[in-house]
Amino acid sequence: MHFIELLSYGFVLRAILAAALLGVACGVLSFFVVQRSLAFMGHGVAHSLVAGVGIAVLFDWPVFWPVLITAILVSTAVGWITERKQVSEDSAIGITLSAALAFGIVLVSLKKGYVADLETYLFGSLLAVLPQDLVMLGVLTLLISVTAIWKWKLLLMFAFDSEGTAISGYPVRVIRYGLLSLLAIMIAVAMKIVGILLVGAFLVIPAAAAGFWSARAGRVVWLSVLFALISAIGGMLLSISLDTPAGAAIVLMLVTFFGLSRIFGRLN
Amino acid sequence: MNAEPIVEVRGLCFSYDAQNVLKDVSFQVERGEFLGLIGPNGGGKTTVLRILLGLETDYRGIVTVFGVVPSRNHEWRRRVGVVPQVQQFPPRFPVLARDVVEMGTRARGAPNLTRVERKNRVEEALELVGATPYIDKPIYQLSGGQRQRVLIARALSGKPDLLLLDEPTVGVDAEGQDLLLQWIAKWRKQTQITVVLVTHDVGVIAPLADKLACLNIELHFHDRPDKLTGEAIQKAYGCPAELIFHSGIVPHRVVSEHRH
Repeated sequence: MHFIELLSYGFVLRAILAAALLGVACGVLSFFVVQRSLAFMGHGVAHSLVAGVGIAVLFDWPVFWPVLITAILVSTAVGWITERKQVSEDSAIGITLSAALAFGIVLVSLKKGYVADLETYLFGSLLAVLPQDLVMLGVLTLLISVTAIWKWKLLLMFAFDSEGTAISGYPVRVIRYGLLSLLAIMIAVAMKIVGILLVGAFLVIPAAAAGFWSARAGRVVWLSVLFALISAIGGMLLSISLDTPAGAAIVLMLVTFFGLSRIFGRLN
Repeated sequence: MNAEPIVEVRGLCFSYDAQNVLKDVSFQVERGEFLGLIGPNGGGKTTVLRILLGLETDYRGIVTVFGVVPSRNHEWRRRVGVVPQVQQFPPRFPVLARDVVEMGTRARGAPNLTRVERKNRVEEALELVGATPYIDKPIYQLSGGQRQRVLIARALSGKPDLLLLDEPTVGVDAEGQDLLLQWIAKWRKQTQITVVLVTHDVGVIAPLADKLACLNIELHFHDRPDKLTGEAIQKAYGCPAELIFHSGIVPHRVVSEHRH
C-alpha cells in the first residue's frame, strides 16, 4: 500500500497522534527518570508487565487494567523495599522484575496459542491503538504536563536534593510515590505502542540527549520533549513506510538524537 | 545575649539496630549563640542534627527547636537553614548556582516573594559567602569549596534564624577550607544568627564557636572553647591527645600510638 494512502486511514492517524502524545509525556517524565536515576526502574516495571499481560491472556480479560495494576504494584513495591534500606534499589528491581516476568511467562504458557499476541506487547503495534487508548493517553499527557508546569520549582528541588526538600517541609514520600505511579501508568499506556522491551528507552534517552545542550533544567525538559516528539512522530512515519515495528523505529530515532547530541552538544 | 533557647535537647537517647548511637545527651543553644558540635566520626553528631530536623523520630528524651517538637510541626522550617554533609547530587544535574540558592527561599510556609525579591535574596546570599562570581555556573562545574559556599548561600537565602551546618569543610581542599572558615566568621558577625556547626575537626571550629559540645555517644564537654581540656578530647575521641593553642585555634594532636 502506498505511504500517502496509508496516512488516510484512521488507525494510522490515531497511532501518529498517540506517538505524539507519548512523546510529550515521556519527554517530561524522562527528565526525572534520568536525574533521579530511575532508568533501571523504568526497564524493570516495563518488563514486569508481562505478568499483567499473562493474567489478561489467561482469563481472557482486556489487557489494560491488569497491566496498569501490575505496573503500579511493581513500582510501589520497589519503592517500599528500597525505602527500608534492607536491599539496594537495583537488587529490589532485579528481584521484582524477574519474579513478575517469570510469573507472566508461566501464565501465558498455560494458555496455548498466544505467542503471537505476546510478541505484539513485547515490540508494540500500530494497530493496537484504540480510540479509548488515545483518550487515556491524552488525559495522562495533560496531567503530566500541567503538574510539571504548576509544581515545577518543587519538582526541581525534589529531583536535585530530596532530603533537602524534606527538610524544607514538603511531603517527599508523596512526591516520590506520585512520580513512581505516574511512571508506572505511563509505561502501562506506552506499552501498546512502543512495546515492553523498548518503553524504558523512551523514558531515558530524550532527557539524556537534551542534557548535552543546556545547564538549565527548564530548557533540558523542553528539549527533551522536542526530541521525544520528533522521534515519536518520525519513528512512526518511518515504521509505516518501512513496515517495521513502531517501537524499534522510534527508539532508533531517539538513539540518533542522543548520538548527535553527544557529538555536537554545547556542553560536551 | 538573650537567653531564650532556640534548641533544647534533654536526656536524648537514640539507638539503631539495638546499638546506642546517643545516650542521655543534653544541651541547649541560645539565641545568637554559635555552638560547635564536635566528636569523632560515628559519634552521633549527624544523628543529633537529623533529630533536630525531624528526619529521625524514633528517639527518647525531649527535643525542641523554636519551642516545638521538630517532627510535629512544620512552621519552624522556614526559620532554619541547613548545609548538609558532603552531598551527592545527581551527576551533571542541570542547575546553575543561582537556581540552587533560590531553592533556599522556597521552604514550606516561607513568604511569597516576587521574582525581583527572590533574585535579590539570591544575589545577597551569594555575595555574603563570596560566591557571586559563580552565580551563572552549573553546580557540577564548581570545586568542592565553591559548591559548599553555594550551599551555605542556599541555607542563608531563606533568611533563617537558625543555621545548621554538617561537616561543611569535608571534601574541600585546605585552601578552600581556610576561605570557607573566613567567610563563616564574616557572615556570622554580619548576621548574628544562631549557628550549630557539626565537625569532627576541633581545629576548624574552636576559633569560631561561642561554645563547644564534645559528643561521642555521650556528651563529654559543653562549655566555652578555652575551657576545653585534653582530657575531654581524649574521652570523646578515645585517644591520647594534647591541645595546641595558637591564635585562638585549638587543634587536637595525637601524641602516641593508639587505635580508634
